[in-house]
Amino acid sequence: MTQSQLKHLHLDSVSKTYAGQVALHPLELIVSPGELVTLLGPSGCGKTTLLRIVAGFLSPDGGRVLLGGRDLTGLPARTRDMGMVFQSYSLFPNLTAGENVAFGLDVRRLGSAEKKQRVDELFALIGLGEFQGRYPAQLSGGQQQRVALARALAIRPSVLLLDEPLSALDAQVRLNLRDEIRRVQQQTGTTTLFVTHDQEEALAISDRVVVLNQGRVAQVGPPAEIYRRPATPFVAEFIGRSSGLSGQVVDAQAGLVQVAGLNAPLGVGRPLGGFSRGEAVRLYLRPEELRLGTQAPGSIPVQIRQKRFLGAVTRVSVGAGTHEFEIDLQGAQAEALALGEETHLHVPSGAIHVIRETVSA
Amino acid sequence: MRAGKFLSGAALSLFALYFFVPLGSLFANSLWAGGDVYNFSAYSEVLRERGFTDALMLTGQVAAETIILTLAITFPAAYWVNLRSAHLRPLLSALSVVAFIIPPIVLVSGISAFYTGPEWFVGTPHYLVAAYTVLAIPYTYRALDNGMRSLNLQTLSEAAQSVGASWGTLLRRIILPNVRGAVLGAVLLILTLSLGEFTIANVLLYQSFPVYMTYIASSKATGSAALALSALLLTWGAMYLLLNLESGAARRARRTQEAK
Amino acid sequence: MTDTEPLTRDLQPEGISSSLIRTSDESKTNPSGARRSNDRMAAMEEHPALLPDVLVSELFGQTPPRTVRRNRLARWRSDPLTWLFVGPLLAYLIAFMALPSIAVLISAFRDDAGHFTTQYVQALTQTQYLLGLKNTLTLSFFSALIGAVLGALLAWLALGPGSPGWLRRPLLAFSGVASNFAGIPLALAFLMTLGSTGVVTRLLAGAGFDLSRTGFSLFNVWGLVVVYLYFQIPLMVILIAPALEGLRAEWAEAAENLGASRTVYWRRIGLPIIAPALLACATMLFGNAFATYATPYALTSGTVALLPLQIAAVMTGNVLSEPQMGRAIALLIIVIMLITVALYTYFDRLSSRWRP
Repeated sequence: MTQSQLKHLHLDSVSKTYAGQVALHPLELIVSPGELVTLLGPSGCGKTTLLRIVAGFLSPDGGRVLLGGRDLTGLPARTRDMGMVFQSYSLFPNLTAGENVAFGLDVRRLGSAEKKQRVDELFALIGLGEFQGRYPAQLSGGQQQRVALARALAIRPSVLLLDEPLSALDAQVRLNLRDEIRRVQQQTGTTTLFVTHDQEEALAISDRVVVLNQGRVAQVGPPAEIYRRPATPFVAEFIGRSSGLSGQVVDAQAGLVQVAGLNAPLGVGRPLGGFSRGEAVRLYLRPEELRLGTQAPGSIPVQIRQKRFLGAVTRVSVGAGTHEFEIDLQGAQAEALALGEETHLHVPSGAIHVIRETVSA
Repeated sequence: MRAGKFLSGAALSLFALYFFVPLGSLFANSLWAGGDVYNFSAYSEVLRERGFTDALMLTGQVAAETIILTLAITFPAAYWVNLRSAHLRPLLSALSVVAFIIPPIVLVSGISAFYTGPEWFVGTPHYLVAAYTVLAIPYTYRALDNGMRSLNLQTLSEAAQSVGASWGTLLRRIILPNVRGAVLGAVLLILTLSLGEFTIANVLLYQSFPVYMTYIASSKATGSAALALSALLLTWGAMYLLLNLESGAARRARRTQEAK
Repeated sequence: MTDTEPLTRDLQPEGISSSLIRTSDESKTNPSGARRSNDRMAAMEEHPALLPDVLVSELFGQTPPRTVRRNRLARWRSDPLTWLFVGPLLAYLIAFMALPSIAVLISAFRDDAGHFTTQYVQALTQTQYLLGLKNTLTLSFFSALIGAVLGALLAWLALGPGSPGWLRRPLLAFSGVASNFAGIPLALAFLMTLGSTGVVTRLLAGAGFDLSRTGFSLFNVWGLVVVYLYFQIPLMVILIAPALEGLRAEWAEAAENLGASRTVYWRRIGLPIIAPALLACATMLFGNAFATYATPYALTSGTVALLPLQIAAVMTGNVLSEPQMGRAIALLIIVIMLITVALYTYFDRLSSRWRP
């Protein structure tokens, strides 16, 4: 849309320490124009710190924040032209929704006709046209966040920053607004940094996800890659559900891993390139990829331990000795199973994801 | 940024000067023992002064009675408002605000016009207690109401009853220990009030501690300064205790909140 | 709509004594996840800034809707236990606050024989009482105005963002003490500082500066303003602290993020939000100064004509006057309090559009 939106946001080895505690290890990230990148991680992982450094509310101890090659590091927040949406309650309570959205335009001394047009456009965009005259206290939480989004977009920000904007909302509103944010972001083509601790939200909304753990980047990649090929045990356990097993490589070429407590080695179904015999590994199995059935070569004898009805699927927990696996089954098949029943677990080739035990973070 | 820091530091220093220089002068004067001699003799002398003990006793008695009377009528009301009758809260809050802003001089002129008997009441310390209780009610009600509200009495009492606790057990084992901070806070505030209240006592011609302090000021300024400073330190101590108590209670409340 | 809903509006108030020591935990424990279906409730949690004026507006009549009132009565009747628990407090306040106040009003209009008369109220126009009124108004107004401005400034410097955290508790404790500092202790402290032989007076004299030449004296209205500030500023700190803490950091950050300078933020967001609280607290300060008796009594022994001193002089028989005269002055004070309150309500309405 405008020239400013064609700029890269470049975080160049940005780091931050609070009172001797490292909040952020030197971190490298480039966000392309129009891209939505999510910073995902548990609380205390440094994602909000990073966002606030980009916004200019915090200054990094090391590194630079570059926008289209221009160094913003020392600049005060108000000169950065970044629109920010906060967790909640950030609308000015003494201004109407319309005045809130116009605030940034007032500061920029926009002509009143132009201002009105811009505000009207934005309210049409967020679908709240008739609420311009309401005060924030008269809006629901979801409506308030929409207005906050419009307010941030009004100044045509070079980068849109969203700090857990959905976390204070009810489940249903959250889903709607999530899709809404994505739609508006794509429609305006605004480069966006989105912070969340909700992995489902991150997967659904992002072009790319940055998983942060204890101030370090654990993995960067498109949602599908993060989900299917987690780079570290942390990512595998943080994103989605999976059953984790510890084992040792028996035969890297044949893709065989021995797991203590199971009679036969598990076949990964592909050569384990780069792994050597005897190496300790973690195996991750997604519940939707596992099957139950009769005995077959490579199947594992298991016992049904628990069933949880989740609507579309039923999550069945099965045990094999000290190990436990979760399997998602369609309704009818799960209903036929009785607790305590003996059956066999089938692990399709390719369903096992292998990560070195020693990979940190 | 640095200029702002400097300015705010300078402003804070000016405030500190305004507030601490008078206290310093008070202290310096309380040490003066004539000529060039400075010591703590004023402090010991004033304790031996005639009337001092009586004044302190009177204030102590009035404070104690006010504490008992105020708690006796305020505690049940705050308890009930939190447990059963939340709809009465606006009424009681409004009344306690009225009690807060009514000038003591108006209050005392009203009470003395309205109550002229009986003998055991008028002319005894009980009369002073009656007026002080009106002044104490706003503080006490607020403290208790806040303390109980952070407890969520309704849930607590339902929980207690669901495990078979009787009404008395509930009060003794659950509620009292939990509002002890608030009750103590109220007690300290009433004590502070009784130690400092001058208007009503003076108009009604009671030799309470503050009235006594004023009375000896004309003859023994250093002794009065010594007393004033001691009373101030006492009040300060009480306030500080109260603040710590309250923030302790708030911390506990927050922890319970988080535990939920 | 259930009848409890309009009442939730009234359930929020935090009082004077509590705000004195409260560390705005309520606003802090609730940073997220609080937005439940009841949006009114949530919106209220959003505005701890309004606490002090809720306190005042309670007093000045937020009349609940009629249906609620009827329901309240019905519930009251249906639960005799309520009488047992709340009755004593109500009875006490009626007996020792309401009835005596009404007695003051009535007896101001009665002569010794018990006949109706307006002579005492008319006597209020005598020079001494008019002077008393003028002095009391001047003293209360300026000590409230200066006290409110300086108190809010001090609270902002010491409790606001960017202030040293260790200052918080000592300041609040000190404010609790100093706001109750009155009477002879306060008078002595200032006499020994700015009196004719006071420490500062002598220091200034040593530096060749004669304080009395400037016309300054502790024993006139302006001297009293200086002394009153000693308890007015701390009272303001205590009253305004919750409102300042209710100013969300997000508001300042959002404004900054949108390109606003600090000045623009304060002019368009910060001040408008706390203005009602500032006015409410200033009103409280005015009332506080108006009711102050012990300090001017101890300091001036009645040389400055002030209404509270005049009531007391009549009542203690220090002047030749009938007791009704004192009650007429009390009536005057009550009337002025009511006007103050009406003014406050007016200001409050002006700025309450946006409130939930």
